[in-house]
Formats: sequence, C-alpha cells, structure tokens
Amino acid sequence: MIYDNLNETDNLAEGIEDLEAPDDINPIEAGSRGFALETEGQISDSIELLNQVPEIQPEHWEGLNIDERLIAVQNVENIMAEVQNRPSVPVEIADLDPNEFGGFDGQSIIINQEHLSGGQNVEEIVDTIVHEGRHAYQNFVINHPEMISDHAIVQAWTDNFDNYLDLQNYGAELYNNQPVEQDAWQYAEAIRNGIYGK
Amino acid sequence: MEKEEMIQILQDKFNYPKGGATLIAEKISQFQPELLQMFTTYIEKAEIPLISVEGYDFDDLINQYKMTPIAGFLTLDWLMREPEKAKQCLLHGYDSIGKDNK
Repeated sequence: MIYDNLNETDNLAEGIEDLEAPDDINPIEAGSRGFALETEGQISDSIELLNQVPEIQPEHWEGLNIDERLIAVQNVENIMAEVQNRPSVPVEIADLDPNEFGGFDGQSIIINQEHLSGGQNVEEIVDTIVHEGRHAYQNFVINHPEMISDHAIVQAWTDNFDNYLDLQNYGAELYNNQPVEQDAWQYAEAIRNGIYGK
Repeated sequence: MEKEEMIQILQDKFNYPKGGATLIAEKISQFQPELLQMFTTYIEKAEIPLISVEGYDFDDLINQYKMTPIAGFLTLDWLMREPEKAKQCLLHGYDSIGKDNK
C-alpha cells in the first residue's frame, strides 16, 4: 500500500517544521512547486498500482465481456481515488456520440458504451477513466481547497468549472486549452504512457 | 465588423454569455482573411462555407462533433494555425463536466 510509510512521513514533516524557508522563494512559487511534486507523486503511484491490474493489460482485456470491463474500469477509478485521497465515484456507461469519449457530471464518471464494447482499445479506455477521474479530483479539491498547496490552481479550477467552455459551443481550441482540460489531458497522458509506453 | 458589434451579435443571435462572446470575438478578429470572409458571409446570409482544412470539412465538425457553426469556424481557424495540435485534440474526442458542491 502507498500509505504504509505514513509514520516516516510524519517524522519528515516534524523535521521540516524546524527549517526556515529561504528568503528567495515566495509563497506562490513554493505552492506551485508543491503542487507539481504532489502531481508527480500521484502519477508515479498510479502507474505502479495500475501496472498490477491484470484486467487492463491488452491481452487480458480482449477476453473480457462488457460487464467484466465495467468492473475493471471501476477498479481503475477506485485506485485513482485512493491515490488522489478522495472518495471514488461510480463509473456508468451511456450511449454517447462516437466522438464523445466520456464525462464527469459531478457525481459519476460516464463512459461511452460503444467504446467499452470494443470501439476503442484499452489504452484509450484507461486514459478516459483517468482523465474523468482527474475532473472528479479537481471538483473535490474545489470543495476541499486545503488539499493542495497552490491556491492559484484551486481558484483557476473553480473559475473554470463555473465557466466551462464546451467543445460544441466554443470549438476545439478553447475547449482543449482551458485549465481543467489541460490538467486532465496531461495527467492522463502521463499515466497512460507509464502503463503502456508511448 | 468591429469587435464590439461581434460580441453583441454573438450574445443576441447565438445566445453566448458576455464573457464567452468576448473570448470568441477576440479569436474571430484574428481569423485569416479568407476564413474571416466566409464567417462574415455566414453571419450575413447564413451561407455554410465549403472549406476543408487538414481533412476536416465544416460539415464534419458540425455533424461528427456536434459543434455549432460558431464552434466550427473557431476549430477551422485552429486547424489552420496549429494543425498538429488541433488534429490531436479532435482525434481524442471530447468530454464534458459538471460540478458537485459537496
């Protein structure tokens, strides 16, 4: 388990309290670095844990029916929720347009039924689940801003959730480049590459 | 067309909120002349442009990605300026999100 060394972490934290912050690091810069480190840690823990899930290896995935695949992707979401220190959300299938890969509606992760049935490979499915799970994390952080060290990011995500630029109305560029999508794309891509290679 | 006029049209005719209309108007003001002419014709005459960029037709974007015509124009502009990034994005499809206040 990734939390087995909590006591060691506590001891480290005690040591850190005794240190004085260098004068040349301002709090905003320190917060950004802290967030980047938190994210890198989540990514490496996720890759390690997801690599131990046989069902999402391509040779195993091909032999699963859609119900078994749904159980497998729920397991992926449960692992991601544990790594991100948030409650897991249910993964549900829906009849979506071919280019609509999924969604997070505030309560559940939605995945395209046709994709899960075989229309997309397992790498793309895992990418989608991790991407939507990242939106679940962003939403959780908005409601629990003490979870991350960079308050500017919490504010950016809050503003973006309130003013989300959907692809259908704003086109691909504004959709793709908004903070919550940039974060989710980069996060999921790093984990996908860590599991399956580029 | 002036930017302020465009913002007003986007709000009145296409129901965009002020902030969204401002973002879009800024993008449109930087369209290449050929695309800007097609956009103006669409606004004035509702004429659908016959254009294909990097293998994507205007109709593809409307039908396959469920984009509004405004979103279609914005995406054609991105395909012209940053074709690799734009194609990569379109290839990976899209999603949508909602907020939970718990």
